[in-house]
Amino acid sequence: MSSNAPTAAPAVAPIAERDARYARLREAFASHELDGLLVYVPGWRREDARYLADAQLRGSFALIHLPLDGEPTAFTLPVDRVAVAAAGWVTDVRALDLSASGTLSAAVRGAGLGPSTIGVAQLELMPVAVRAWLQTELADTRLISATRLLSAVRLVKSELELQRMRRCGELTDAGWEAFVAAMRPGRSEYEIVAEVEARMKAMGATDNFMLIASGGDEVRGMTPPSARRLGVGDMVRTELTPQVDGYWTQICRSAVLGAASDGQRASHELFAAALDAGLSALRGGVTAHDVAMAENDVFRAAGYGEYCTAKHTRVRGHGLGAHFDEVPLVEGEETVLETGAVVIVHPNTYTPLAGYHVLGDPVIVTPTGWEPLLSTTRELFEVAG
Amino acid sequence: MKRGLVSRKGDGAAFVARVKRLQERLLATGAAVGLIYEDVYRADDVAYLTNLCVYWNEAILAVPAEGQPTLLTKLSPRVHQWMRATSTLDDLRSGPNFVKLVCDYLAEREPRTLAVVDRAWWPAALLEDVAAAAPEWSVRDLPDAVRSLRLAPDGLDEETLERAAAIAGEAARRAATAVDESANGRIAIAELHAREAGAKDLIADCQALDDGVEAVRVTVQLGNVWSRAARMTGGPGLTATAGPMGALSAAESRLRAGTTRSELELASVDGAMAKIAATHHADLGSNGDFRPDSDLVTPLRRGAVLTLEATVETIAGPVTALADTYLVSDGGSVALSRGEAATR
Repeated sequence: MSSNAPTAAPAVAPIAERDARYARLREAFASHELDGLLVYVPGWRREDARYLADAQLRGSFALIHLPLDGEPTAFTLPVDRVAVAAAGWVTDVRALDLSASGTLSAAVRGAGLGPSTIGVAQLELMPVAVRAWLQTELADTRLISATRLLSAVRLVKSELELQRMRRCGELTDAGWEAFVAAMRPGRSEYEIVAEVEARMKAMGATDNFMLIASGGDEVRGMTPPSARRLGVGDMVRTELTPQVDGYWTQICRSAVLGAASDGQRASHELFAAALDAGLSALRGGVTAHDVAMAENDVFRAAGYGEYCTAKHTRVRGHGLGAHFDEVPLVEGEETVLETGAVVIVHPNTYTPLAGYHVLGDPVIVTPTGWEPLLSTTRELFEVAG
Repeated sequence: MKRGLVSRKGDGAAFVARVKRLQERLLATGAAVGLIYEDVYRADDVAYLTNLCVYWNEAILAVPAEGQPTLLTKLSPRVHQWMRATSTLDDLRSGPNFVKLVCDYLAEREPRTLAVVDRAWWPAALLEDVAAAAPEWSVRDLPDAVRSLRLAPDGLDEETLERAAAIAGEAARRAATAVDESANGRIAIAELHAREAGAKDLIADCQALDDGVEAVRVTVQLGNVWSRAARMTGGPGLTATAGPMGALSAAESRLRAGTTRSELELASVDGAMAKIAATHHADLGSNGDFRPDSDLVTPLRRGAVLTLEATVETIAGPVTALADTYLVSDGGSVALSRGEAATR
């Protein structure tokens, strides 16, 4: 496991990176006959703002307009105005005031648009108040969802994005190291989380999504932490997902307090085989379905196929990037995982062997396979009780 | 992110009373059902009524005018057991499609009026689809129906607010007084203290003022309430600290029942070195971004809890230099985040 401080990444991303992203977006516009893109940024889904503005937003909502030609405009709450401008990609930053008249329409018209069709990312989440403002400001403009379009563009990462994710991977390794170090009899779940959180924040994490579960084979899934205290023999599972410079990576591991039981070891062997199978199936050009099926086939061959269903598990992994839960790896999902995409393969589910078990690694998809983002070993960790 | 302690539901009677108050409002407006939509970023109404932690994704709480609330959620049934253990909810319904979940719920009832709490902040597309799929129901807005209840803390919230404020104050103090610590290190100190003390969520930042002074701001969610405190570090020159201290002191002296947020925020005009922002505890989780305009001129009630922040302009934008959370009384206020006793 790594315990080194993360290597430095550039604080301000170059304009060339921005221009490359905008070029990809505009190419996608053309294929969908869009005259521009409007990104709605709710408080819990800020990934598109990161992609367009490379800024860390804190407000409850924002809008960013990218025309077919010309400069973008951001509409933000006061708390985000300086952050967006300081990032340097969007220099025209205006107040987002839903009672103001003419500000949005001026930005769109200023880009030379008359009646047009604009794609709106996260249109499905846009609240009544914001959409009413849009409909007033852009009365003669057709608004259609561009959520999937933007997700597809974001799927393949640039070298700068990968650099950030590699750095986040180093921090993720350190987070797991802190997790194991915090495990001891009598320690509660939330106290473990506190120690992990402090360690990752000290190293520069800007956020973290984390679930945990402790206990025996009665455990069916992971949740936020409880006051439950660890006992010898407990298997402690976590999905730990820090964010650095706007990008997330994730680790899924299970650790036993004391010596692992036969059931826990058997469970680990099953999950390690499924993870290996998923990774073996992964290369540029395969689908999310292909990877999920490879994982599930291991369970089916071992007689545990029923535990790959929605009754027991959600996904067999998922995309990572500016959001931590991108394209799902599930059977039936035909999204092509192109070279440069980042996914975590995790066959996490419940089985009667040892209860809910998690094991997963994030990787960069390459033409012939994948590049690991973590250095943590894929073992069932045993922590002295 | 809500990755801290999610406590058990505790005093179930308090939640029953809260739901009852909302139901009285529903009955008064002729609504048979009230619907509350929230997501992981903005989940305080659902938590207030049920103690449920929406730790990810979205959820709709359906509250009938009579009877028990029902949760409609995209979260998996695998976590129903946990939801039942940590909330007052018993009827939990999961599915990938909110419209179907809502319509199936409404189909069990005689069509009447459907009250949508805070309609302005519902996803427009979802609301349109629900209205189209249930045309026999008359949809009406019920703005501020739960937040307005949260503004007046009940016994359960009073006790939790006092603890939350103490945690926020101590976390900010420890982070700000640490010697030779980096900004990330100060945030880590705040995280460790607050989360070990049981915080469910935490928003901490450390930003530079002038003269080598830094400010640590800590916003803590404990149980279902929020509190905030900010403290400044020492430095080679302390001129940066005078403005915020004076502004906060001036605002504090005006804080009592009957004062408005507008009056408190205007208090900073005279000093000019720092601006004051006043935020009810019920609005801290989303920084006041969803509060109604009328909140600015609504007189504070005795027992209200709010945060006063002194903010200074820096080259990196406005930075909160000093903040405390107060309990409002008829004659003044008590700074809960400074450890003052909440004698009422």
